[in-house]
Amino acid sequence: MSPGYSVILIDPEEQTRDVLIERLRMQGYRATGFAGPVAGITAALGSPPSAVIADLWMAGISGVQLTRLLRAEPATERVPVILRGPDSPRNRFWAERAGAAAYVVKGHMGDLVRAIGRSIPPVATEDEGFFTQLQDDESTIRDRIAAYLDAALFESVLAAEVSALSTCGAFDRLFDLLTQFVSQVMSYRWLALSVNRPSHVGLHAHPAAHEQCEREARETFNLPSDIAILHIEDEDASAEPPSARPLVRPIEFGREIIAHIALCQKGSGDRQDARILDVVAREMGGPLRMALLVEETQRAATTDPLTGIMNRRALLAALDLEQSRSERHGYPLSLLMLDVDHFKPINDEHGHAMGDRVLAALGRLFAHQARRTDLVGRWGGEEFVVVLAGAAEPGARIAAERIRSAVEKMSVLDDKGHRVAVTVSIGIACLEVRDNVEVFIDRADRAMYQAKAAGRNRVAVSPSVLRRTGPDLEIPKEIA
Amino acid sequence: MNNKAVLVVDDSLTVRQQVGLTLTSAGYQIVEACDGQEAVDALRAHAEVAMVLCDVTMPGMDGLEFLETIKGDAAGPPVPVVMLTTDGSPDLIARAKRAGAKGWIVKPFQPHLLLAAVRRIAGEPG
Repeated sequence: MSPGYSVILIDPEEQTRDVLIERLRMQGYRATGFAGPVAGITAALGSPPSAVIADLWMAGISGVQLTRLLRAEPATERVPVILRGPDSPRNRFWAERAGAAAYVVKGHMGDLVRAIGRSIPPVATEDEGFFTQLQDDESTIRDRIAAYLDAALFESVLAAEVSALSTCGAFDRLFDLLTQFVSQVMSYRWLALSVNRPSHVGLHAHPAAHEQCEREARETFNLPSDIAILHIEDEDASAEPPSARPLVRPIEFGREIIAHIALCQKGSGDRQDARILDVVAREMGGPLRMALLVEETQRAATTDPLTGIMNRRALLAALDLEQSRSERHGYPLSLLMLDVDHFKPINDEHGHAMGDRVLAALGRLFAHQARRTDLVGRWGGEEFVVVLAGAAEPGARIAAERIRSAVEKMSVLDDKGHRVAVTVSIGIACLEVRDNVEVFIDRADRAMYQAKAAGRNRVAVSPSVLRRTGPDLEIPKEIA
Repeated sequence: MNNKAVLVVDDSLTVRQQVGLTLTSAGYQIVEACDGQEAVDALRAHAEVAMVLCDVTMPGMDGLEFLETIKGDAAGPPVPVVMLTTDGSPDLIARAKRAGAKGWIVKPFQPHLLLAAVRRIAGEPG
C-alpha cells in the first residue's frame, strides 16, 4: 500500500476528474475518480477512504443524500465528506446540516485542497479499516438512503414533539404529556423521569404492575424512600415482565445534568427504543428546565421567603376561592388573625435577625399545626392568618387556643442561648352570609385588637348576629 | 501456494461451497463450521485459521454472538472476522463494528470483491 491519504472523487466529467486527481496527487493524496454517486458510495463503503469529494447536484442521488448515507453507515461514519456546488449560503447551510465537513464553491480548486487538509484527521481513518460491501446497484443504495432519510425525518418529528413540551409550565403536566406521546412510538413496561433538584420523579406504568415498577424505578435511580413519585397508570404501559436492565440517559441543560430518564423495555425490547430514548433525552433539557423555572417562579410569587408559608397575595386568592366554596356548599369558614405580642421590643432588644428568626419559627409552627385543608399565610409584618375550612366558632376557638398555647411554649433562643418569650394575640371571625373577604378579614382584625386590649396572649371572637349554620346541624330524617 | 486457512461459518452448504471455491482457487485452505458454537470449537482446534468469514443468522449461536464470544473482554477478536450475510441493517452492522469485526459483506457476494477483501485483510496485494 502506498503511504498518504486516499480520497474518493465523484465528478461526472472525465476531464475535471483527471485535472483534480492530478492536483490532489501533487498534494500527496491518492485520489480515485468515479463518474457517478452509486459507484463512488459503493467504493467508499467497501474500502473507506480518508475523504470523499462529491457534487451537491448529481444525477440520481444528491450530495446531501450521499452525505447523510455515509454519515449513517458504520463503515464511513467518520469519513469526512466535502461537497462542491454553486456559491450559495443556503446550499452551504444544508450541506453542513447533512453532516458535510465542508462546502466549497465549484471551480475553486485551492479552496478544495485546503478543505481536504482541514477535514482529514491527523490519524488516517482507514486504519480503523471496517468496511461494508453492498450490492453494487443503484436500488440498494437508494433503499438505504430512503431508510436513513425516513429515520432522520422521524427523529426530527420526535424532537419537535419534545420541544413543544416547553410550554407545559409544570413538571406533572410535562411528564403526563411526555408519556402520552412516547407510549405511541414505543411500547414499554415503565418510563420514568427523575429531576435532581428540586427533586421530582414521574413514573408511567401499567396499573397491575405499578408497585413492582416503582421498586424497579427507585432502584434504577437509587431513590431514597422518602422521595415521592408522581404516578401515571394506564394500559399504554405494559405489565409484561422485563428481560433486560432499564436504559438510562442523562438529560442536560447547558453543560449540567439536570435529570435522568429511564426506560424499562417490554419483553426483550425493540432495537429502535434506544435511539428514540436518545432523541427524547437530547431534546428534553430545554422543556424540562422551562417547566421547573415556571414552577419556581410561581412558588416565589406565592410564598413568603422568610417563613415559607403563603404570602398575602396568594392567601387572598386562596381565601377568595374558599369563601365562594363555603357559600356554595354551605359549610362554615373561620379566619384567625394572629399578631405577635411586643414584637418591636424583640427587634429592638435582640436585633432584626432575631426578629426574623421568631417570624420564621412561627411560620413553621403554624404550618405544622394546620390541617391539610387549612390555609396558612403571612399577612404582613408580624401578622399571620390561618383560615379554617369547615370550622364554626367552637372549632375555631379550640384551634386558636391550641395555637396560642403552642406559641407560648415555643422556644426560640437568642445568640447567647437565652430563651426569648413569644406570645400571640388571636382574633377569630366566622364567615357570615353577607361578608365579603375584606369585611371577613377586618372583623378578625378587630377581634385581634380586642385580644390585645384585654391583655395580649389570648383569643377573642368577633361578635356576630347572623351565624352561618354548619353541616353538623341535624337534618330531620323525614326531610333527608 | 498459501498455507493460511480461512474459517467459513454458515448454515448453508451452498454458501460454504461458493466461498470455499472462491478462496481455494486463490490458494487458501478452508475450515468449515455450521453455527457459532462449531466455529468457536473450530477456532480452538485449528491454529492455522488466520481469518473468519461468518454468517449472521444461524441456528443456535448466531454470528454476532460468536463474534462477541471470541472477543471476550479484549478489544477485538483474536483473528480478523468478516460478516457475510443477506441482512444489511445498519444497527447490526454497527454492533459488529463495535465488537471488532473487520467488515460486513452483503450476500449474494461478488467473488472478486470477496477475494479482494480477504487479500486486503491478509495483508496481500489485491
